[in-house]
Amino acid sequence: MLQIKNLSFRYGKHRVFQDFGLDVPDGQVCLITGVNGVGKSTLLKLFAAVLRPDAGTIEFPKSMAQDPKRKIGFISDSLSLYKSLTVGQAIRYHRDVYSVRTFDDNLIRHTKIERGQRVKDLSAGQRTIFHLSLILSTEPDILLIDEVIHSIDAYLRKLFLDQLIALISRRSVTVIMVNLNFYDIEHIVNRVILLRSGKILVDEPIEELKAKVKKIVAAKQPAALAVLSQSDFSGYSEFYVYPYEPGLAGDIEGNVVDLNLTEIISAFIGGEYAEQGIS
Amino acid sequence: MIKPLIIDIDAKSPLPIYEQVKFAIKLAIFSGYLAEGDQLTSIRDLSVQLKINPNTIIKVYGQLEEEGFITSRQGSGYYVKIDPTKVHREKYEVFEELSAEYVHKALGLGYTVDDILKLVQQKYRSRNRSEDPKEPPHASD
Amino acid sequence: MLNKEFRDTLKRLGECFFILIAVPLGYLWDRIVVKFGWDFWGILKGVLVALIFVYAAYAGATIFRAEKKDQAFEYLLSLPVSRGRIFAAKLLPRLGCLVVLYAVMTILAKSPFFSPVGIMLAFVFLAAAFLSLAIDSVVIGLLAILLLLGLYYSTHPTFSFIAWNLHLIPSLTSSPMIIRSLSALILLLPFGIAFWRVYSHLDAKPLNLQMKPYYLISLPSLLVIIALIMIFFGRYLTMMGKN
Repeated sequence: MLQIKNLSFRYGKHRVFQDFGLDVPDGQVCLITGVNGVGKSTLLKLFAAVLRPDAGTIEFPKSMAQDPKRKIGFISDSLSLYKSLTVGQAIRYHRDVYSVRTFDDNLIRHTKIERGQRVKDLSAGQRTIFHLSLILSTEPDILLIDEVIHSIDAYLRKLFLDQLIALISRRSVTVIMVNLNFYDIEHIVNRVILLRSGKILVDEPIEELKAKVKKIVAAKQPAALAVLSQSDFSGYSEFYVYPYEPGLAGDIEGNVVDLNLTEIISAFIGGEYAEQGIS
Repeated sequence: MIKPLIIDIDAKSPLPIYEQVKFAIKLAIFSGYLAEGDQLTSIRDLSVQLKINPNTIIKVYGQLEEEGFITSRQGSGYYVKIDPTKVHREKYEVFEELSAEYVHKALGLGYTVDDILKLVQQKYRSRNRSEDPKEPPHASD
Repeated sequence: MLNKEFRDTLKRLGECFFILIAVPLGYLWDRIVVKFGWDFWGILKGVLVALIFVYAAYAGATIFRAEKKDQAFEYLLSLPVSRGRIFAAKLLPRLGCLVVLYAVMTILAKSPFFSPVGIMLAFVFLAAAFLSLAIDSVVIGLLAILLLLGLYYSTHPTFSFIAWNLHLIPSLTSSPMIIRSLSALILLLPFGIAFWRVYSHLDAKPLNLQMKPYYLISLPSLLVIIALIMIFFGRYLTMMGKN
């Protein structure tokens, strides 16, 4: 179990987290999302021990406690690497530091990366895939993946996710992903966490979240149901409600529609913008 | 030879993903596409193919095994093996569920049960024994 | 990790070799223009000393060059290697290279290994290294090193003067090695402490947000030392002037 307790962190003058807590059980695939700037990447970096908290602790599973960084695979959106090195040199460096004996260059061959190329000369997509192959070669127990799959092409994105799924099928890995697009990851994820203002607004297993967030298409707002956000049309509106209970179906004058994860998160975030007065 | 499973996952269905996958596999078995003894796609391959968490597939295969549809062979994977004591009502329940969906929609259009029966008789009488090669040669009704 | 650091060390050394152009240039200059009658080997020796001095400063200042240039701090911090080991891996090749160059020079010049020049070189290297996290600009870095060097050359006579006043040393002709070493250490200490404080708490945050220890430790210490020097060095100079 990965545990965060009483975490506080400031970036200069901006307080990102205050007394923040989170537990992630082993083997869980956890999605962390929220508006830009809410602290998702910061949280991941704190997990990776690349940022030090101002207060609070991060406790790793007992199997990792001795040397947690050895068993963490971390990819951040900055894709930090020694860019002046060639691909071959970077692989040797990484393998040497982690004492890794073998390196599976399957992914690299797939993306036509050559060992003589300098890392800085790779395209963004190639760099992402290269970074991933480095991370995977160390057989991590915890995988921390920041928004890296957003800016790569559809093929590489699929390649990346296929590798991730294959890894999960091979061994028990805890995966914590920060993402803003969910169309192809929503069935890989077990748990969805939505951050707002440094706090957890939503924390549900994905199946429960889908059961609790529904769209009601009706002429008027359904009574006794909290509306996250709504879209208005002539004569009717779409109300995104949470939490929804199946028992209420009979009382609603309108159609209850199921939602995919993108629509669910959009509803929450739309609500956040509505609160701030942005329509 | 592993026959590929073509499964459509509906992200916006009230049914959880694992239920959808389970149902699709049961249909494949009942329709004869997957015959007794056929090997199922590996957990890893199916999860990559459908872009689903492998643990969900493990759950699906586990439940299918418990419900008497498949069996696992150590080291080589999962195979179709119907346990008749467990799976006798299932096929009929699938039939009921598929019919319910159709009948409900037809009734919703304003037609009656007699209309439905007449239509089925007229249009589908000739297809009493399907020419579809995927159907097993002698389906005991 | 050491492999990369050795490679980087040699690259930085190679970059310093441009100074050697001063040898033929100086020779030609003397031959053609000023005609002071400089001896070729004399020019070579002088340039080599300059080379080692420049290398000492450059090697120290570029100890984190790869991380700054490639924005690899985050990657480095994510690796399962302690900061101590990282710093040791960086220090070893650079210091080693400096020692080898200096040893070659002492052999060629037939001068002793433990000499004031040696202390000065070690001082320059360490000062540059300790300032490497705080300073990005080459110009400012160079000025800082020259300033500290100036302070060093004011500090050790000052300490010698104090020691002489306390009858600890017989004469003031030249500061003894031990006083030179002590002065170097005392000047380096506030920077070393500030550097270690920043380095051991280094984060993937922007570097400029993490420089507080330099302001809190180095600057005040520096001001104290300058004040002390102004008081005692003044007296030392007056006294030297009277003799």
